[in-house]
Amino acid sequence: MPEGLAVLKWDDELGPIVTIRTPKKLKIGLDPTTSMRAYGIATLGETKESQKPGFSSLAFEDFKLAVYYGGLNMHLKGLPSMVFLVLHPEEDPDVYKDALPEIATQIFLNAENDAYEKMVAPLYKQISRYTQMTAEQQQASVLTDPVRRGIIQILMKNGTVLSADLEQVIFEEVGKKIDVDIVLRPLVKMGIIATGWVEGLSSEVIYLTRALFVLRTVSHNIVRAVLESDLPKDATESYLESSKEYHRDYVARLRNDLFKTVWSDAEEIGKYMLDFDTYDLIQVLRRSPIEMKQLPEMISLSNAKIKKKLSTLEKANIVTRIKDGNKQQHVILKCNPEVVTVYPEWLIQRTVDQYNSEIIASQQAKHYLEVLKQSHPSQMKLIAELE
Amino acid sequence: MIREIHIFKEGQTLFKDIIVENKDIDTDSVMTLVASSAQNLQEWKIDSTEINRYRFVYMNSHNAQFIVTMDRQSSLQKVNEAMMSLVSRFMMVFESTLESDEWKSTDFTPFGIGFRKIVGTIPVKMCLAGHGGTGKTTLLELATLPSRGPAQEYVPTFFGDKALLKADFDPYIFSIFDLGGQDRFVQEWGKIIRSGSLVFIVTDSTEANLEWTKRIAYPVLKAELPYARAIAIANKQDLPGALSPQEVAGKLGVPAYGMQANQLDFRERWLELIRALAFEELEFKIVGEIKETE
Ligand SMILES: Nc1nc2c(ncn2[C@@H]2O[C@H](COP(=O)(O)OP(=O)(O)O)[C@@H](O)[C@H]2O)c(=O)[nH]1
Ligand SMILES: [Mg+2]
Repeated sequence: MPEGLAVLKWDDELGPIVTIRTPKKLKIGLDPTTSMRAYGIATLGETKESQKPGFSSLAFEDFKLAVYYGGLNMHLKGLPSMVFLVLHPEEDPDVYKDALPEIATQIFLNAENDAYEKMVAPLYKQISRYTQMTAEQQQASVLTDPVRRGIIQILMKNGTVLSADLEQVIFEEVGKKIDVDIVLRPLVKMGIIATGWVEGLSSEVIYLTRALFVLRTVSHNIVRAVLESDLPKDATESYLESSKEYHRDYVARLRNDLFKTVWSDAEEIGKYMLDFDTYDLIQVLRRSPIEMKQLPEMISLSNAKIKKKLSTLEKANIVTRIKDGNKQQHVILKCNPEVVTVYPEWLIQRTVDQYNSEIIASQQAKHYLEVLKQSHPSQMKLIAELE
Repeated sequence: MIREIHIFKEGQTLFKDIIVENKDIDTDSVMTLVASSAQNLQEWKIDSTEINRYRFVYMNSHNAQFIVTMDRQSSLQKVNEAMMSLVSRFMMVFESTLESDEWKSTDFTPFGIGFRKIVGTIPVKMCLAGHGGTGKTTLLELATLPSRGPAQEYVPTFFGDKALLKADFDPYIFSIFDLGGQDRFVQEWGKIIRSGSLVFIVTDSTEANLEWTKRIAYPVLKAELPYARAIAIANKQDLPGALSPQEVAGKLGVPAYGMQANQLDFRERWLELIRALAFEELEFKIVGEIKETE
């Protein structure tokens, strides 16, 4: 566990200043000489044209720092531009390589009017959970953030967009000006988008390489487990029936309004996945149906909490409960909520169409088709084999 | 750094406080000009205009014009905030006075204390610029850590360092930025020195170092802080073969002052140089006007 977390901004007259820290009593690692050093490491060699935001770590005699820097733009604007964890000298900063950017991004996105200040303490309390975030949770965090969700939506429709246009669209949708760069970075890292410069275009171009959304799938091992269980026949039958019916209805909704169904689920289910307790519950239930009374032991949560989480998941049509012959409750997944990424096959034709009707620049279209070619699953397999 | 304040109403001066005079311009005619621009401003709107190395920030409230003169490159946002708080403070006491005819016979001098307090909330930014090993960190510590005495061992500064200096410099306090002097850090100075008012060009008074200063440091300083005031510190005067301050000044094109930064005895002199440059009571040069001579 780190000693604490602090946010720095650059003040022209005062140099780096700590705008907020948690816990309040945190002292170590906050002296100006250290902060200057942290700034130096983060910004060394950086220019306006080639900003280098990102994660770095520094070791001192009595402590270490894990630093996430937001880039020269934020630095020059005097916005909070650096979030760092103060660590014990024995601790490994790399443990926070994914968690810290996640927290810092939320802070940077709420930099205006100091809105982030209230978020810092609760975010910090979750830090150790953040270090254990699964890939699926990281993707869920993209889907729950309205800005990044909006970006994915636009890209899933159009495939490619200019960074400047994206900024404008986001501004219109969420009502605030956002540094697109900060928001996109984690998406590039996840392999969901790629960025590049195209000759003749004034701003960077963004390409979708994998689509990202949430699906409710049928879990075959759960169905098998239910069939093979000792549950009374009428109970299993009614489970299978209701699950089947639910999926029929779900598929109909997908057909009817794909966009609305997928994105309202993305928002809602993403939230459950980011709630660490709820996610634990889902993870356990993905393995097999479970007797209610065994749950507290399995996920070390109080009975009351489990009940609360379960009733939320029940309302969301994710779990269901049935009783066996001894009146014992069993908890079973009604559907398996999954964050999925798929190769955006449909964007190939779409790009060709946009190219033909001159909606996008020809260079941009060609470049995107090349990107799509390179990120095609067959290519990926080839690369993996070569490596 | 805030230098002056003038408050006008109907062409009369209600109050003025000149901390550091603007010697190289005709202040009276500039004030007349700025005051008439200020008159056209909406209540509580702030605007500013630049002349040479000065910036005039002005505001109009209750038909009184408030004009604050600052160093051109100091942080405008902070001076704007200072303007807001000083006009609020002024109105807290004098609002009703301004609304009647009373103002014509009122003594506004008590406002001076409040004004100077606000001036003291914005540190005057000073930068120690020079090659690695010339004595910048030693100077920083000589000023800010007198009890410890300047360190004698040389630990190269990474990127930069900073410290606040509160001494007998009323109403000003200083923030000292020590710039990492290795070549790879000089290109980074721009990120650190923005808004600087004072530049101390630190040399170890050797030929080679003066060459380096002109070749490497000057371009960065001139690009970033053309309106700042500068003097050179001819450090390490105790070493045999050290060039004299006059020689250093001649080669750098900047008035130079002798120093031995590793001697605690020189603290008084060092602080006096800082004070005198801030108050413009010694010979200095504007960075953008530096001409290398020899
Ligand atoms: N002889 C002598 N040595 C000095 C003087 N001022 C500083 N030094 C020494 O020069 C070395 C470099 O000083 P430092 O302040 O670290 O240089 P910086 O790289 O410019 O920060 C240190 O060992 C200081 O003690 C001086 O006036 N005379
Ligand atoms: Mg140094």
